[in-house]
Amino acid sequence: MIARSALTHPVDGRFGTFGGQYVPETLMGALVELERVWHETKADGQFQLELAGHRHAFIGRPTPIYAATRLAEHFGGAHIHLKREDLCHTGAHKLNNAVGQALLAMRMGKKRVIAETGAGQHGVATATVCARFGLECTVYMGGEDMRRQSMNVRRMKLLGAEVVEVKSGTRTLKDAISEAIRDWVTNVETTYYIIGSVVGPHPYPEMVRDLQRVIGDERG
Amino acid sequence: MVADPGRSPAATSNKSRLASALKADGDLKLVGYMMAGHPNRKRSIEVGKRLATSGIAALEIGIPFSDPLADGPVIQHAGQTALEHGMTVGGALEIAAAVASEGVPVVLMTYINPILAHDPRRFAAEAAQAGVAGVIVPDLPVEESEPVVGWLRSTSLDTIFLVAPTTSEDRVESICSHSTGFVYCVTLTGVTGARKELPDGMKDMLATVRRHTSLPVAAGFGISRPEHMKALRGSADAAVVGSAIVSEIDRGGDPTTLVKELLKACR
Repeated sequence: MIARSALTHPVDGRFGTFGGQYVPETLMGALVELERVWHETKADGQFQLELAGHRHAFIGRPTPIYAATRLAEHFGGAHIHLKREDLCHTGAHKLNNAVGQALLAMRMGKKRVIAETGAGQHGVATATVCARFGLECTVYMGGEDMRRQSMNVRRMKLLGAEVVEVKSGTRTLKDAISEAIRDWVTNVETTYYIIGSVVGPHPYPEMVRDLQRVIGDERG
Repeated sequence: MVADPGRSPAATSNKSRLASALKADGDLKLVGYMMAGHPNRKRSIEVGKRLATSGIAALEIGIPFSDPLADGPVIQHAGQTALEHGMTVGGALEIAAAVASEGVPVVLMTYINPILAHDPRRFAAEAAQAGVAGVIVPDLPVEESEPVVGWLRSTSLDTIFLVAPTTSEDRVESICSHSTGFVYCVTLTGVTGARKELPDGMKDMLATVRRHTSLPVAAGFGISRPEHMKALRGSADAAVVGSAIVSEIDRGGDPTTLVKELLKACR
């Protein structure tokens, strides 16, 4: 049983039994620095103001909520409300996180961004923020996913990102993450890695959580 | 602050086979690497036994893992081939036992995930039973090392941690104090794989590590050529050659020819 507090606040980089920093030593210095900068940044009112501005004018927040009455009827009368994250710029909630992390990358003086993507939504969000802020962007995507989601590959390329096909393992998301980490291990001094999901070494799960909570904060 | 070598666990492991095998005695020592089950189980045991008696000071044996994020294309490919042929942690420990019986100190190199999936306590007991001397886990930084390292030490296995070019000096101190057997210096900022030249800052890093430990210091990643051996003599106790040996095995050649060539440059 995981204590509720462990689910909301990571302790030593862990949420209960999950989390930690299982990465090569080469990245440890960068992760320690990232954690320090993130804690400092999220407490900075100036940053929060800037983030709020981008959420409003660039992402299109707050997103609306509406009652899906016909769907509710179909399921026999439950109350179903949809929070329309699909109306965010680029068509997914992924931009909430990508905007915040891109601002952090710039704050840390990094000019090159890398990302992994599965279906392509996080890749498109990252390519979009990089185009917005003038950052160099490389997206790792499994070969199998590139074939299934060719439209998103095209969008990323149109936005100026380089899309690297990952041919190792199962050629899907987990292999794209491994390849992105290999790039980061090699280019850690110049590159910021924008992880798109609550995965990867601490502080990433905490950062993605912090940046996506805007969806819940807009309730009511 | 410089660690007091007299109080570090490193200095207390006087019985470490690795520490005595890897200490340079005028000559640079050579550590080889092979992937268990690459290209298949049978050939992997044959190659391991040949390497064991080729003049190397120790042999690292990789246990294949599906997501080897510290490895470059050559070792990734070897691991994937081994997995496709059905290699497991148990199977790799059998190969390690067969190779260790030739008398060479064997060091297992794998990721934390297969160890956790196998059960770390059982892994430690079985590795010790197989005659293994030590374990390297490249995605296990010192902060995450307990309780796994505790289990490994309880069966007298050496625990080797890695220092990278991006490691700060206070981390070097902590890594050295957590290491037994030897300290592994990753020479370059990147993944495993042969490189033409070794980075400029390498000697400074090796010197920094030496200030914090009395254990042998081995350099690895990118090392593949006789001129690299010459460059490391006097700075490192040992050089680890991985991808270059694995490439030879992959193309069906005899890796001991490369080992002999490298050993000449160690003297």
